[in-house]
Amino acid sequence: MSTPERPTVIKALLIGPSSSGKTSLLKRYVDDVFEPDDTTTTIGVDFREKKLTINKKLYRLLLHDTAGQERFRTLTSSYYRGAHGILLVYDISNRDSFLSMPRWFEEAERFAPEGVIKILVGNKTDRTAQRAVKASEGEELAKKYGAIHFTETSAKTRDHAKEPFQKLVDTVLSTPGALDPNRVVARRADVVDVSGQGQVQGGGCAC
Amino acid sequence: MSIEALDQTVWDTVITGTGLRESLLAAALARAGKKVLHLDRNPFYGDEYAALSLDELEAWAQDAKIRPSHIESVQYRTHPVPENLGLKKSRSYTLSLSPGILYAASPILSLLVKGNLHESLEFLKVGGWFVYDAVTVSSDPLKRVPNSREDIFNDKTLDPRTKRVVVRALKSMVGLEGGGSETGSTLDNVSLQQYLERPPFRLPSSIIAAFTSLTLSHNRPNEIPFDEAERKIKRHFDSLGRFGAGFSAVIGRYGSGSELVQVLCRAAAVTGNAVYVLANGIVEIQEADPASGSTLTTPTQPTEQAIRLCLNSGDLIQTRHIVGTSSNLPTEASSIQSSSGNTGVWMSIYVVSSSLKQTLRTDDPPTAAGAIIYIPAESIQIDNCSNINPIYVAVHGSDTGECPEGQSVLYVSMKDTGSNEVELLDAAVKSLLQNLSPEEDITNSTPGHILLSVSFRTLVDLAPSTPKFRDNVHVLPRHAPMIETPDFLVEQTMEIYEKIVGSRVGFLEKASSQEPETPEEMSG
Repeated sequence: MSTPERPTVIKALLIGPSSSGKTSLLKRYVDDVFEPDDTTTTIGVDFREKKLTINKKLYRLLLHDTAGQERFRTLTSSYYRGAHGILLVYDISNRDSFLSMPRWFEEAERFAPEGVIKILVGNKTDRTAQRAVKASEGEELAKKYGAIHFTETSAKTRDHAKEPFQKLVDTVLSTPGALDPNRVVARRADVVDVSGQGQVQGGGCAC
Repeated sequence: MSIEALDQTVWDTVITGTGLRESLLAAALARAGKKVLHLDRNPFYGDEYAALSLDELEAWAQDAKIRPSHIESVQYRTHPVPENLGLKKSRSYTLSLSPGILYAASPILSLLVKGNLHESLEFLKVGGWFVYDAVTVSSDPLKRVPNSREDIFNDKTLDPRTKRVVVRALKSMVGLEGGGSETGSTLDNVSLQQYLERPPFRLPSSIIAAFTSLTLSHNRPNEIPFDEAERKIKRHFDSLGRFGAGFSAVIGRYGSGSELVQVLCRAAAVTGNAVYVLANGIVEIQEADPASGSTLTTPTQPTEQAIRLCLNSGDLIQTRHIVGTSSNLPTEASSIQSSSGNTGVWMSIYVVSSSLKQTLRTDDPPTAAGAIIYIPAESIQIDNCSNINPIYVAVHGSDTGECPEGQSVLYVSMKDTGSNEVELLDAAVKSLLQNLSPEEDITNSTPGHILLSVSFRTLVDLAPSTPKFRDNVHVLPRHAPMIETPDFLVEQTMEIYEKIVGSRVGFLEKASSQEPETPEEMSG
C-alpha cells in the first residue's frame, strides 16, 4: 500500500517595522492565487498556508506574520524557530521604516537558524510621490546584511508582489541542505504527538 | 522607544510578568475578546519561565543579585576544562529557568490541544526515571524505575518474593488491575517509607527509593505523607502510555516552559486583542490607598471601575483589572500576599561535556530527550557531610535544542538544608559524570566535565494557595518552576479568568467565527 507523499514544509516569516505592509503583501500573495482554507478565518490566524507543486513535488509554504508584536519590538524568539526564509519588509515612503532595518536584520541574525535565507523588500512603490528611500539604498542594505535578494513591491498594485515569495522558495529549494530536517525543524520522529489523535504506539504492531 | 497610544484605551486587563500563568491568562482573555496589555519588566519573555543564552543568563545572574526577589544567592561559574571541550558560543545555549516536565495527563497539555496550540510546540519524550546508586559502585549505577509488571518480573536483581511484593505494593497504590487501595483511617500519619517498610510489604530501601523518585518530592521518603505520595505515583501511572509506550511525561523543546510561554503570548497577540511591551512594568497603582487598605477604586470614579496605573516608561494607563505576582506589582498591592508555607530549594543548572546518552536510551521509539535521575539521601559525600535530602537531576540532551551536540544540560535540585548545598550538588554531578558513560555503549568511559554551573536558592510555596483578590488587583501566589509543571497553575489561572470574564466556559478556545473588534458599524 502506498501512502500519499507528505508535502515538504517550508517555513517563511515576515518581519519589519509596523505599517510597512507585511500583511497586505502576504494576503496579496496567498489569496490572489490560492483559495484560502474555509476553516481559517482571516483574523486570528497564526500563519497562512500555500500549497506549491514544483517539479512534481508537493510543498507546503507556511507564511507567518508578526501578529502586531513588531510594534514594540516584542517578537518572541520562538517565532523564528525553524524558519527557512525571512522577508524583511520596509515602507519606501517612510524613511524611519527603512532606517530601522539594521535592527531587524540583527534580530533575525540572533534568533533565526543559521543559514536562514533573507530577502529585503521595499514595499509601497505605488506611493511614487512620497518615496523617501532610493532603490539603490535598499540594494546596498541587502548586500551589507547578506540578504540574497532585494526587490521593491506594491501589494496594492501587485507590482512585483509575488517576486520575493517566489525567490524565497526558489532559493530554499536550490540551496543544498537548506531543507535538511536536521538543520532546523525537529526530526518529526522524535516529536511526541500530545493531541492523542495519533495512535498510542503499544509494544506490538497490529499490522 | 515611544509607547504610542497605550493610553488611548481602557484595557480590560493589564498583566505584568510573562510567566506561565500570566501568559495562559493573556491568551485565554484575548481569545475571549478582552483587551489585554501584557508587560514584562525584563527585555525577554518568560520572567521566572525564561530560557536564556549564556550571555543573557550571566546578565540575569548579575541582576538577580541586586534585585530582591524569591531567587537568592545566585552564582554563575564557568569551569576550566581541557581544550576543545569547552563552552560553545553563547547563542548555542537555551538554558531554562523552567525545565519542568509535563505529565501526559496534565491539564495544561489538554488545554493546549483544545486551543489548537500544541502544533506550535515540539514535545519530546522524558524517557525514564532512574535511581542513582553512588554508594555501591556496580557496573551500572543507574537503576531504571520499573514502569510495569513486566519490568518488575524482568528485573534480574530482584528475587521472586520481592517481585511479587513490589507488584502487590504497586497494585495497592495505583489500583493496577483492580487492586483497590487501602482505605483512609489506618494510613493517617503514615509516611511512604513506613507504608512500604511495614508488613505486608517489607520492601528494601532500593525499592523504596524507586517509588519515592516517582513522587518528585524533595523530601525524604520518611517525610512524605503516604496519601501525597500515593497521589503522585498514581499520576505517573495514569500518564504512562498515553502518548506512547513506556513513558509518562514530556518536555518542550528549547527550554520547556519558556517555549510554552512564548507560544501562548503569540496566540494572544494573533487575536489582535493583546499588546506586548517588554522591559516595562507597573511602578504605581494610583487608586491604591495603602493607608486604608480597603478598596482600590473609589466608587465616585467617573470611569466605572477603571484603575489608573503608572508604568516604568512614565505612561499612564487605565484598566479594569490588574494581574501579576507580588514581585511584579508595586509593594502596596503585593503586601497582601501571604508568605506562609515557603520552603527553600536549591536549583543548579549545569552544562556538561557529555551527552549522557546512557540516560536517554529507551526500548521504544521515539528517542528520549530527557530523563530524571533520583539520588537518594545520604549517598553523596563531601568532606564530612552528605546530602540530607534526595537530589533530583533532570537530564536534557542536545535534542532539546538547549545545548550543542555532545553536551547536555542538567537541572539539579535539592531542598535547602542550611549548608554546603552547592558543593553537594557539584559533587553529585561530578559523580554522575565519573560513573555514567557519555555514549549508549557503556564501555566507552571518557568522563565528562562540568563546563558551566548556575546555582541559586529559590523560595517555593509548598502548598498551592489560592490567589488573593483585592478588588480588581489579582495577585498570583509565588511559584518557582522546578522539576514538574504542576497542575494547580491552571486552576489559579482559571480562577482569575472567571473573575474577569464571569465564567470558565470556553477557556482558551479559539473563537471560530467571531470577528474580534470590528470597527463599530452603528447606523443612524
